[in-house]
Amino acid sequence: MTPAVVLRVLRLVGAVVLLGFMGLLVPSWVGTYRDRLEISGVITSYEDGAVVLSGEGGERYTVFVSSETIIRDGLVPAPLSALRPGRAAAVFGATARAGRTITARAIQVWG
Amino acid sequence: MDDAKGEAAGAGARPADALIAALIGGVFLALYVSTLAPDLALGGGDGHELTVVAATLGLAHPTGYPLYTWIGHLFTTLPIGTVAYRTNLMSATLGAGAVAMLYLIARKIRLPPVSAAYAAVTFGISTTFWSQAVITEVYAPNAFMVSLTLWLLLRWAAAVGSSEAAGVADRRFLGFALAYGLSLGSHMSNLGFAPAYAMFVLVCEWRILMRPVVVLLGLAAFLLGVAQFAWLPLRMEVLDIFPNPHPGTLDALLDYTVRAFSNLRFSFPLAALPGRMAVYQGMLEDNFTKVGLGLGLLGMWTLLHRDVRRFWLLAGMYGVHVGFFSQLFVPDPDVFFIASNLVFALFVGLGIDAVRAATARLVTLGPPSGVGLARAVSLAVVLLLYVPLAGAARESLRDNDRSKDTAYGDFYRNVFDVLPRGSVLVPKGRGAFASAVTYWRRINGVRPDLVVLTDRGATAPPTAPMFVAHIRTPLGVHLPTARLAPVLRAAGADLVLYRIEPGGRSPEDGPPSGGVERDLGVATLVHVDVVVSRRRRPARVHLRALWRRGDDVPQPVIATRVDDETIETHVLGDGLPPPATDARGTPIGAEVVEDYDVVVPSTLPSGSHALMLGTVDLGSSGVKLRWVEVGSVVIE
Repeated sequence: MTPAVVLRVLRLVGAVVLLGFMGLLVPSWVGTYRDRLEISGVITSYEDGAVVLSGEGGERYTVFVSSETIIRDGLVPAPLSALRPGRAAAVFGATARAGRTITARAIQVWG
Repeated sequence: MDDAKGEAAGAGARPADALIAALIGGVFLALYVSTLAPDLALGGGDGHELTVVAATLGLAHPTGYPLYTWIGHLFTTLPIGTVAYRTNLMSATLGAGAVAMLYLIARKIRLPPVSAAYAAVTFGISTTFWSQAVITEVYAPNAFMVSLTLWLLLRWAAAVGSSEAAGVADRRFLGFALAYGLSLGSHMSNLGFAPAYAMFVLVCEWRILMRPVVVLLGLAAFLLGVAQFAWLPLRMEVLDIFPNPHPGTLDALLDYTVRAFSNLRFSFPLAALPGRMAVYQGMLEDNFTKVGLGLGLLGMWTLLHRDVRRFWLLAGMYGVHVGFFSQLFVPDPDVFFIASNLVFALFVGLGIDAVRAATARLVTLGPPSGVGLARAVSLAVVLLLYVPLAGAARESLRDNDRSKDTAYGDFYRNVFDVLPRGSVLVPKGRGAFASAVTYWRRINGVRPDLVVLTDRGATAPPTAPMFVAHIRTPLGVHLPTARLAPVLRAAGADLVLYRIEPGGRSPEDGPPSGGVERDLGVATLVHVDVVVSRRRRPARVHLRALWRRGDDVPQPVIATRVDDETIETHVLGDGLPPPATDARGTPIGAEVVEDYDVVVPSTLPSGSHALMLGTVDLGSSGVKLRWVEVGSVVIE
């Protein structure tokens, strides 16, 4: 394989990779996932599989916790009982907007 | 298409580039220094530790950061400001250096000066990078090491494709390899760039494989840089403030370095990839705006078209970093993308240049007006695209100006002022996160009489008064045989000194006598007594207030304000035992006496200032603040 062929292949693969990357990035860029997906605040309650979170600016979030939600106390995997009122929490990987119910992929608590 | 290995004629580095790079670096150094935190920065847990480690040549948390420690130590010897200011200055200096290097790198990928400068400026003003260039952290120095390594690699590639002597290229290759090995001491994640670097070397000069001496010397130079990690076992006994197993064996050393935080890696399933990319896209937009994001994507295609070798170098570095860190489970993901943001800024510069080139082509399609007009119009278009950067820079300046961040210094000066002789102090957390106290005692030599429980071998005398610094007590969590009585509050909810009171007894003093009876929505301020307990900076005011909870909200929040500045907030009844507070907070209608000092920021000018108490209603209709003036503070 000559260097010119190698470069041609690299260019072709590069184009495919770029298309794939844009396929992942552009939908959120133009608005499909427009909301910010990571929120943090203080847990004000946890009942019936939902955590109510008070954000730093006072905004309130209701975060649905499913059996697939990863919960960590600090860096350590933790049970649902870690979601106690008064603890600081960061919610990852869910569509979030103040006042809306959202689903969490992962919640980290501390404090 | 131009796939030349070396620098094409007309766009290579010129002597003026060094001058322009120095100018850009100087401007950003001035910007970062003017917004630099003057002492330990608020919220900078790792930074506090890194300051202590640099000053004492100790052992930093995993992955150890030897190079960072050594350079940091040099900065701590500067005769300027506090020790923490000096390590903050390291971030500003190397951060500005990274911005200047980025200009030189952009020139190496054949961008004209106006587009290369755009790439540098857009990175320099990006909010995440700026936030790290004004506090002590590893990210700005690491951006410098990444940019230095990349620049050295591109210089090697330029020599390979030019008529320069083979020895020049070999020396540059060894310089690159050494810098790359050293860069692991500013952040281990740079290891992820290895495939992109290796591939670039091979596609530029695959015949290097036929020269085993050069390859082996390059490997030796890299390993020489990596050898810095021998520092960790050598210094692990000096000042170990991170509660990790000592890296005294090879296995422990690997755990401390390349295997560190493996529990946080690849934490999200593949199905979460679109969501993770959306998180990443949001961060990218925060740093480069929507327009910048579009220019960056255009720049990627432009580089693929113009120079496939350099495309794979940059795309490889970028892809590995974004792929890895978008799957990392951390509460502060944005800073981990700084190195990939640096590469993305180059793509933005390429996008700008694509716009410039397209404009020039469009102009030449018209009447035969000449090359001069085409150049002038395309330059004007690029300069127009600079205009939005001014707005972005203003926003970044507003968000990242830490020059008045005196909260930690103000808090701890007062903590060490109020603690009785021989007290026991429990800092927040362990190890790296308890480093603010370590900084004050070990670096500044303050209050050697205190027993700090995180010190190695420290034990609490049974009768000594005990205090907990810098921690927020969780609502509804009460120690069965003790209570945490707030003594001192400062700067938001996080800087609080509590006294541990065995037996959980309530205050014995009666209620305050100063009548107010002011309904503030979620709570009523019934009585309050105000006494200025320290007049010199940082001043302190003693507050003793009787509150009555007045509304059905989850947690009434109490706030203190001096003039227009809110200096402290906390949940009503914080630290008080039942019946003042229970698992749901203070019961409706309950009366609560709060008794504590509040620290007044030292940044306030001399003179008299209005002191106000208020409530924060986090109701569903939005945040409502209500205030009542309770006295004044005279600052000397």
